[in-house]
Amino acid sequence: MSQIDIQYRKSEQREFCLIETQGSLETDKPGGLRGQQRFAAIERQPDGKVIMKIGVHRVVGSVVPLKKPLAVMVKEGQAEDSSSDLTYKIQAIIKEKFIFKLRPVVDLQQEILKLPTV
Amino acid sequence: MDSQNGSNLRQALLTSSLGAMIRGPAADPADTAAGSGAQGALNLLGSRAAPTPHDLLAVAQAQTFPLALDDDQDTLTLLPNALSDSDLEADDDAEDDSYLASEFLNAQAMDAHPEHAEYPEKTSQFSIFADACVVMADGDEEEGGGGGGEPRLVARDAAAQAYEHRLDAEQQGREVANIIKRREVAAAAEHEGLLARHKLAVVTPQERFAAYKAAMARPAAAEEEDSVAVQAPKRQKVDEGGMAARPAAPERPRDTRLAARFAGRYALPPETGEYVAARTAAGTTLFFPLRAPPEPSASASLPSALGRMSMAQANRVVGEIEQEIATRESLLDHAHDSLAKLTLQPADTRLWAEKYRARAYVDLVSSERTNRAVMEWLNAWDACVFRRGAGADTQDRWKRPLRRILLLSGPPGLGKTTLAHVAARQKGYDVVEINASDERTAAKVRDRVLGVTQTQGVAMRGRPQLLVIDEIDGASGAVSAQGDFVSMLVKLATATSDAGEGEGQGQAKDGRPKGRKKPQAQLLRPIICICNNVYAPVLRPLRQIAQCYHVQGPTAARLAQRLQDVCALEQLPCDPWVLADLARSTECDVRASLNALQLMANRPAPAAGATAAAAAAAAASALGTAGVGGKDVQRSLFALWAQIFTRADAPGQPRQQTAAEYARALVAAVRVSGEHERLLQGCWENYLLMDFRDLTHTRVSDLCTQWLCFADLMDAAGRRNPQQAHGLHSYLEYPLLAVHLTCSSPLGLARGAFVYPAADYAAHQARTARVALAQSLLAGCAHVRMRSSLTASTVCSEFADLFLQVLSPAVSTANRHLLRGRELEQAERLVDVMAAWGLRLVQAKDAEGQYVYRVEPPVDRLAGFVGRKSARRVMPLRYAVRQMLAQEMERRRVRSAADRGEDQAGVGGMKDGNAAEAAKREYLGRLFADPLAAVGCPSGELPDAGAAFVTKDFFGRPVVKKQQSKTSPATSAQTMQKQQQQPKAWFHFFEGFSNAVRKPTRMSELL
Repeated sequence: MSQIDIQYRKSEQREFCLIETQGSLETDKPGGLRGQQRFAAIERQPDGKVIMKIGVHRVVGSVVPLKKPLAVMVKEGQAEDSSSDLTYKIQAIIKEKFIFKLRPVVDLQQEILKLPTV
Repeated sequence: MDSQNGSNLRQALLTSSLGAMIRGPAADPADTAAGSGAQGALNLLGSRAAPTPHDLLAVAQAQTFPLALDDDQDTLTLLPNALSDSDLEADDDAEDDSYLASEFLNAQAMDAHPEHAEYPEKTSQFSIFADACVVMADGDEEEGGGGGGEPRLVARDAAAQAYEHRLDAEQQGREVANIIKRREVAAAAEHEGLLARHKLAVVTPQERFAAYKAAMARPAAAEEEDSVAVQAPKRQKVDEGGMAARPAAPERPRDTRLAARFAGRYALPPETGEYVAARTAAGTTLFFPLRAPPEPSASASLPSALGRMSMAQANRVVGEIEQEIATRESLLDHAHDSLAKLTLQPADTRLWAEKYRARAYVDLVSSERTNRAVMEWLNAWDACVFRRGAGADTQDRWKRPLRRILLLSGPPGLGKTTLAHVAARQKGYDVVEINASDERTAAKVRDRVLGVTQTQGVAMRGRPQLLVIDEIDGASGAVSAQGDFVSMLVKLATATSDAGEGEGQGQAKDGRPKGRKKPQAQLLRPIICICNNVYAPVLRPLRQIAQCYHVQGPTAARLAQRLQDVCALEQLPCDPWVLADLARSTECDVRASLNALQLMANRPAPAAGATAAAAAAAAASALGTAGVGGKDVQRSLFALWAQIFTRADAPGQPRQQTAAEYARALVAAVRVSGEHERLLQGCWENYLLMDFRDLTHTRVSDLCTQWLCFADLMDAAGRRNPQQAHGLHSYLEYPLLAVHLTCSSPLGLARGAFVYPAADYAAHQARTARVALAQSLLAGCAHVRMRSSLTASTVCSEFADLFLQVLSPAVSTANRHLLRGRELEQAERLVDVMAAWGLRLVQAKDAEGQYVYRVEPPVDRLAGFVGRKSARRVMPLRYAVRQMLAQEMERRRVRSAADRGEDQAGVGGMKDGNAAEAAKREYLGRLFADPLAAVGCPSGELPDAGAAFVTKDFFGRPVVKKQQSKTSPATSAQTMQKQQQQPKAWFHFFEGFSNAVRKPTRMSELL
């Protein structure tokens, strides 16, 4: 009977967030949207809202706690021959997700907004 | 058994000759066309050898019918203004001759053209026949030495009749002119009297009025006399004077005319007695003699009145008189006009079909069985309407019959409407008719129907009313607020029964006597609907609930008897045989026969010396030639096929019918039906089953190679060029006639072997399916060049057979580890090919519930020929082998997908086999980023911009890029790098809907 070793070290924890969008995140990069590419800025507001900014657009979303937390694990060791040294390392525990279901709006600069309308 | 062999032999012969035909018309011996001339064509029917298109073409060439074969495109073209059939028949027309001559010149010019010289036989073959059609139909008569063709006789007859009509019209005009003349004379006399009276009693207006009235009354009387005279016009010799007088009269102005008339009579003073002189407006002096006054009182005052009258007064009087005369004249003219109109109408304007419509049940000529059935249905209403007898339907509260609407159907003119009216009157109903001309929207008709069927007839002698809806199949399917007309009727007839039962229970509970206040409409009176086509789509709902009867027409003998009665009543001498012929030619249509009879009666009677037989012959020829009574009835396809395959001298055929007459009738019937294609298909699929005599099979092979190919050619030409289709259409009847001449037998379709043609449709279906299959096969092909070089037709004709061989290697074992050597290669190759063509093996259950692997798309059907199924196996058939192949394909698919994924990740790029691929991809990437740099330097070094390629403007000067002048090459390279590093990313918002699909994402992509 094989055992799977799952390791959890608090010091190694990284921060992940789960994003649900009404829409899709797209790119023209050949490989697709992968890696830690920086393309958006997500800000948490004190009132529980989150704001995702891409370019000059901004989407307001909300934070929803997950019913069951998710763990992000990385498999270590070769599992081909034997399962003895196969371990999983927990990299992060995700407990909440950001839901963006509103329509993106243009993030106008404040001074433009303050201009008197004719 | 013997006939079976015979038909096989025929089939074999046919295929061989068809093969010869397919190889090309040029291979066809041209001597057929050359050898048989117009004379040969004339002998077509007489020699019992089936005529060929070539014969007719030869005739046509002699006549230069304007149809030619376009050599470049192998198409038949109808030359402009091609003659129609009617033109063909009237070939003695001078205009047509000149036209034909010009066409002949055209054809000569075409023949002289060098390109045409290559295919002389073709040109001769297809410059189509003109009179051939007529010749073919008339062949018997021509052969029998009957002299001139019948069409000419027809034309001559028609011309003679037209001339006679013209004579009649002229004569009537002359009679009217005579009447006018007589009237004018009368008017002149009147004027005279009036004038005299005026002269005597000018002073009293009352007397003037009385005189005027008298004057007006008298011409009315004269008019009556005249009209009597006109109503019995006599044939009289035309006098030149009458003709001359009439046009001359209106040319002169009115007053000069009057003056002239008066000038003759009153120009000179009378020799005796006193007179009054007067001057007209034109300046003529007239002398009016004084006469004795009609009334004694007037005469007493006459001398004094005259004595007082001065010249001026007399002039004034004459002026007044002239004015009055003018008004009188205009009134008279008006009267003449109306009289002329009256005289042109016949005495009895009623149609005989109306006049001799059956009034009583015993007068009905329609079949006794139908009459009785209708009466029975009406009897079933007795319990409801008249409260006598027991109702048929005991369930119903009103004891109505189960089917409350009667639907009479049948061809026009058989007396359906008459039957409905007579039967209803016989039963004591008042008939209310809704005709096609009435407004028939659902709401209006509903009101009308309810008005008739619910109310007790108050107005009409207290009799109940019955509704007859005539020509109900003409009801539009237009749906209004209450649904269409027919469904309204159906609702009325059916829904009431349910409501009635419900009402019955309610009544029992409440004890209310009558359910008068309920909203549901009730149908309490019979309705008879009449239609021609009971299978009209509009009538579908009605057909299910109505009592349907098909009205059978009277037998020809009975109709002839009735026609004879009518003739006796009209005192029209008629031969019984003629009447029987008439009845037969109208197909027992009572109305049409009566109309034809009336038309015959109205024609000028034959000369007094003619015998009865001559009169009968004249009537018969009139019937036959003028198309009187001939009916444009569309016959069923089976009737036409029966006509085609039945010999003219078959036992059941009408007597005294020559082959030519039969053929002409057949052509006409085919033309009316318009279903040439379907008819020919039926002949094609069934002619071998027919019991005709052709021992050497030459006639059948001739029929197929000549006539059917000709029909195909015509049909194809018509399809290719729809503008010509109409012109070519009239030739499509003659191949059918050829089928008749070749394959007809005395039995006709009596053997019962005839089946409705389905092969064409089946072939069409199969073809559509195969083309779709070929297209789906092409669509799955991954190889672009292969795909672009093939079409659906080439796939079927060239590719499929070989491709299926490639797909069918011999793989013996189902274990892939046991495959060795050649077998392994073949199996792998098979999997490759299938992958390349997008073929899949799909597990499915067959009809017996066994698991099988099907090829998807089912290419094995592309070569599914009958009889070859067992010989050619597409793909290894064994389930296990197919399963192995399917697994292998799935494995390959997964592997290639993984390869693709690695390629996308760019990780596997450096692996051993994929180095070249990776280099290529890298190169392509650079090509997209900066085409110039990539093309200029494939090795990857970044040269100075403009070193390898110098873009030049229109004048050849090198173009200096602005940004390069601003920034150094190094920085531009940096920005390019940066752009490459930071591709764009964006958020695509899905507006309006949530597709709620969670896309699986690999963790490796995030880490």
